[in-house]
Amino acid sequence: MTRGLELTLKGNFINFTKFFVEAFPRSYDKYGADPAEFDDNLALYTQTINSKCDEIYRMTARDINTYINLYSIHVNQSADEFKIIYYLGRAIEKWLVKNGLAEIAQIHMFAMIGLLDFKLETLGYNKPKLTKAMIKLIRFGKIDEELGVTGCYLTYKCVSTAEKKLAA
Amino acid sequence: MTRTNIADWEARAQVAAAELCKKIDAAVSDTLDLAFVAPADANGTNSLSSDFVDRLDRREHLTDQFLAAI
Repeated sequence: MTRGLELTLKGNFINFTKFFVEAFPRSYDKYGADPAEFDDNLALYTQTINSKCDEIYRMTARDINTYINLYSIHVNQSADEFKIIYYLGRAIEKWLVKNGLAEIAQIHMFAMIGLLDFKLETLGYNKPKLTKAMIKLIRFGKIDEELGVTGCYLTYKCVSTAEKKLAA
Repeated sequence: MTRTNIADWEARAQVAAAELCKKIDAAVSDTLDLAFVAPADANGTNSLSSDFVDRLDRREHLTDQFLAAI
């Protein structure tokens, strides 16, 4: 049995896909997209994820795997909510862009930030300046250029763990 | 955007999300073969919080606080 991360996390990938779609309306509203096109854009969003789900989940698993190998993460720390939200979010984003849905990809990325923020909130942290900075990068299309492959994830993860240490 | 409209959108998104996940679950359950990307020793381990997932399932994040900073 060597399917490892994918089979371990497949159920979580599907579950978090649901959370992304459920967060789409508030992200859509915050983005300021055309309300008259909401239904069409929601349909395009879900249809793209549905048609590319294997590719999206492979990319997510591959990128998490690359991360844990690169940074020599112990296997019992191989997955956490920040990783699932971030790497699944980025994989969905990439397939939306590949399918020509750049605006929907940005709205989806708003949802990713909202979910990362909520994870921080459940740990007792509220970082509105971090949220604003990430949203600006998304709007300007600069998240890869400014933060690379893991920068956004590492920022959220480090905020949560660093503050835990300080509070201890 | 009014509160009513957001509620309508969210109701439609919840239906769409449920339908999507049902389709995906059926599509990937027998065909996912991704051994090439995973270390064998990663199998069976994760540190996900069921409490966090439960809160998302209850949609506790979908409030006026969602992305309130922007």
